Amino acid sequence: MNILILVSVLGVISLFAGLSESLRQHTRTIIVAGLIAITGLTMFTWNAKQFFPEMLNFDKYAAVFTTVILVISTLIFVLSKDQFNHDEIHKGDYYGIMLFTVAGAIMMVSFSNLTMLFLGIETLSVSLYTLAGSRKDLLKSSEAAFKYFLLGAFATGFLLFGIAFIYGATGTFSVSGISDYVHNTPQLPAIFYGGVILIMIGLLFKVSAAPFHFWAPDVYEGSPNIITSFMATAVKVTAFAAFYRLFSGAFVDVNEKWDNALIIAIALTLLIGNFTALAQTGLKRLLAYSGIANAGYMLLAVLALKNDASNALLYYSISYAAASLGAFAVLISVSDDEKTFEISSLKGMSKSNPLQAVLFTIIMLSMAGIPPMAGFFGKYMVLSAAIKEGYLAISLLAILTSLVGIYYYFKVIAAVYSAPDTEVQTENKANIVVFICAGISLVIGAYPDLILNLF
Amino acid sequence: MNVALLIPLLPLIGFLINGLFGKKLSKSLVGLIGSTSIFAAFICVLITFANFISGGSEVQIVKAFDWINVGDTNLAMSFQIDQLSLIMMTLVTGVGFLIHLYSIGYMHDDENYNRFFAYLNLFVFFMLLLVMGDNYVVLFTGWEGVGFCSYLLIGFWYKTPEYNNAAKKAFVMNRIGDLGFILGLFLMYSEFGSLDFTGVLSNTLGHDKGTITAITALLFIGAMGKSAQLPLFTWLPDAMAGPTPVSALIHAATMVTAGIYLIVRSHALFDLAPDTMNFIAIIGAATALIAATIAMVQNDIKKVLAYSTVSQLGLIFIALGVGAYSSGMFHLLTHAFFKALLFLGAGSVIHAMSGEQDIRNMGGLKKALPITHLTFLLGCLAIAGIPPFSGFFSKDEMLAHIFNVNPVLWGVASLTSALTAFYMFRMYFLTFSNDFRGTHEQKHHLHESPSTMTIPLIVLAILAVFGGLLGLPEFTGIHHGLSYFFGTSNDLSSLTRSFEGDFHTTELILMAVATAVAIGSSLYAKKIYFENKTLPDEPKGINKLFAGKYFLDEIYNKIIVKPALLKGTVMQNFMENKVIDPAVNMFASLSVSAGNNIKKIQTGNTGFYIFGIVAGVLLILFANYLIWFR
Repeated sequence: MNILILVSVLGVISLFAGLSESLRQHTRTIIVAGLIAITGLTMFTWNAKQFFPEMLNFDKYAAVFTTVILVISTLIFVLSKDQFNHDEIHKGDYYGIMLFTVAGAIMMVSFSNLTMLFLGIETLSVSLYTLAGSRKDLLKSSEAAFKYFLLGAFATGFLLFGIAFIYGATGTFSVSGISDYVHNTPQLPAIFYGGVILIMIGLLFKVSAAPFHFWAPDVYEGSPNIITSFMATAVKVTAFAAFYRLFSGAFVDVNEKWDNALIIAIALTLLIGNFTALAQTGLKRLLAYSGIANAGYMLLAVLALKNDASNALLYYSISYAAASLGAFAVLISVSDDEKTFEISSLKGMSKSNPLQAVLFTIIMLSMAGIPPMAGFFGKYMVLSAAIKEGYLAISLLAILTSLVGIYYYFKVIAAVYSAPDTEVQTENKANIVVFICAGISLVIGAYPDLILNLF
Repeated sequence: MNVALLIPLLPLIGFLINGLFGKKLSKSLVGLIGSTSIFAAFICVLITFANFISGGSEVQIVKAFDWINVGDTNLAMSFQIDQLSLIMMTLVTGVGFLIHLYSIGYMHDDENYNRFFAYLNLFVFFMLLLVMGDNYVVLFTGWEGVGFCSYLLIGFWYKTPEYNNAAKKAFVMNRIGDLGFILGLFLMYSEFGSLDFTGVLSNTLGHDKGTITAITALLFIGAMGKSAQLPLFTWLPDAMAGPTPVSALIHAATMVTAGIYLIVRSHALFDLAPDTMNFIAIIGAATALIAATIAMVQNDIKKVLAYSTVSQLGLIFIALGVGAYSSGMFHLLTHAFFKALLFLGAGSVIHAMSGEQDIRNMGGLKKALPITHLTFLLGCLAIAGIPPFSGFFSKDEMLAHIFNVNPVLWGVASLTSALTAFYMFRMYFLTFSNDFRGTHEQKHHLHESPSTMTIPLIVLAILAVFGGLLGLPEFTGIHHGLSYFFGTSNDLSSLTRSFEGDFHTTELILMAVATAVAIGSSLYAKKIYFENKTLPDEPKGINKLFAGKYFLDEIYNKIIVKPALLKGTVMQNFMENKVIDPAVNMFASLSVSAGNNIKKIQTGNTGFYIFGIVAGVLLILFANYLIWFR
């Protein structure tokens, strides 16, 4: 609860700091320092449960995921140096809106009431619509914002409709209240199940699972790089944490009534995500589809929630976020927002920047799920959780499609080590964020217990 | 931290330093690091040994870390300190250190000096894992590791294709044995549910006899590969392609004795499998005799020693086959001393002769190489079994045990010993006596080796002469050192077999016979090669068979290698090119075209997207109630 307030206050500070020219130069530094302090505070109050009665429940689960989100956000602010230079005057606004997104995210991982979930989702989404269009000078940015808004509003309709159904059946918005209702009612009304499926559809949209993924490639492609990296990492992790929190809290006892719907979505997500990624030539679009494919694996953890798969979800989230953020950090260091960056333009990186090439390779290997990188153990954990719950067919499909994934990740690695088309200048430095992300991918791969012991 | 943990760690550190930074270090520093790491390990072994004795000779398990935890199976990287492993550790680090020291001089002009020491250190590390592990998995890790190092070191001079082929041959033949070993481990795990020494060897009661026989037979197949027994011995003579210190350390003193160690370590199982034991004795006898006959007609100084090694290992296997484990261990030790000595002596000769290895081109080296000559002679006396040198005692003890069980095997073993004395002195006289037969240039170049090389020779010669004190015969009334030492352990006391009835007289007679035979064949060799100055010529009659190594290589080529290659060609042309490749390519192109087609639904048209979402919603609502996926 305190964390939520502090992050919001930091956002307001950022807005006001943007007004003064001298302060504007230091806004980013202030925010990074502030976020680090807040992250520290979160970890310091790790086990102190805080309530905002019937609305937010800041338990261990919320604290852990809040920490993950804050760390990712901090890294993104570190990365966003020089990213809003085209619009110097509004820099503070963009930073502020990003922080409000984080505030929405914190609500989404700590809610104990459906209204707070909805509020969190809307806070997050509305901020993101704005951010997607933050390159007002670029047509594709505006297009992305508009598409995101239209489709997002459409999906929100489903979510709200679902919440209304649930309220109609149970007479409460509280997660624990819904859970009690499920326990105590022998014959649940059809309207309840309808509500569950509609909420699921709304959330599947937010995590960009097929067949509700259409917005993702276009929005990722059109948005400024830094915003895309934010959407692909922090926002995606948040959406999953909320998804899992709601379904394990309220609907776990009726999982046989919704798991088929989820299996269909996972199957489509895995197939569409992985196979379409094969056909991509642009790095950013490839990462967008890779994000869709990864959503499929993370949904396996939601599918297996009956036997507490929160560890697997957390581990996968961290490994995916580290790899994805690292990849975007590389993208940001080699391209700008204006042109599409082709995979073939990576050629010669091993010559021009050997250190970054090695780190990027580690990141891509982690994405592809090659041991001992974190990506491998992430996949292993969600798959073993799903298999333990008896979801064999979908697990098999996940394994097969991950083979397809290896191909397109290795295509990137191959490009990095190909001979350059032109003579290149050698420099041997990598962005600190790339370094950190590659480090995380390696370290938690070697010592998965670092993460698994958090809960 | 327990000192025992340092023992394998030190060579590993030496390997890492020399392997990673050796190129930047000076040669003397590389040699110093390589040898010091082994010497320090040797000191640690001695400390562990002393602690062990003063601690009442209790078996100690020293755990380094948890290694494999799967289900109910917990395997630790842990080491067992007992009488048997201590003896092997002392041998590996002690002789290993001497050979490292020797290598400083021997390899001095080699451009890949650091690589050599790195490999040698790595070998010692794996060998220590092999003998120290307290479960079969650690043992197997060491087993594979030494095999790998052996491969690297045989092919050390990799620019010669022949040497590479020798390395590959050694690796492949060892793999055949390893397959048996690992199958044995699988069977053992399914039968005992454990791979710990304590878990397996202390629970041998109440198991199916056939299964035990199968396990032991499979383990012995592993031993056949590593310890070069029929039919898998042909790699060892070829392995002489490696530098001579490697031959001394790996292919005479340590690695090739791993099979013997494995059987002695698992004796509780082998005791329950008399069929396997008979099989071991017969294989040992056949190997000993065949290798000895081949050694008689070899003209390459290292090849003679290689076949001699095979033959001596065969003798030890006969002893193991009749259950005389401690005698086998005794001979393993003395053999390590004198065979390492002989190899290093041969290396010193080759060094002096500028790479010449054919004994027909040597002769008269006595004067030029006084230390090498004297130590080599002592080595020959020891291996020939002439009293009071070490080989006499160990060989005699084995022969007595073999006779006690099966006089026919004794006959074969004695014949082998006679041949041993003959071919060793044949080599000795051809190399050191009479006149020099090499080129003028070689003669001019002859010199005694530097002190880093002669000191190990002298130390090993002392061991070869006095090593017999470890196991004086029973009738002398002096406690048999090795048997007594094994007797201090509950598990290992059964390694020593006692004779049935009063055997002392028979033993004395056997001893006299053995001595007479050894001296007789030595003198016969002297007559032919010293007094008559005969030089080996083209082999005739049965010697053709010996010189052709029983044509085993040719037979293997014909019945195994050729058909395997043929199968490979067929598979390549048909399975690979016509079936697998097209199938894989088909999946790949299918995937790509699937991607290209699915891509089309991403039209960029928002209206279409909304249509897609609605279709998806309908699909999900529909499917959730109609299809059951689980």
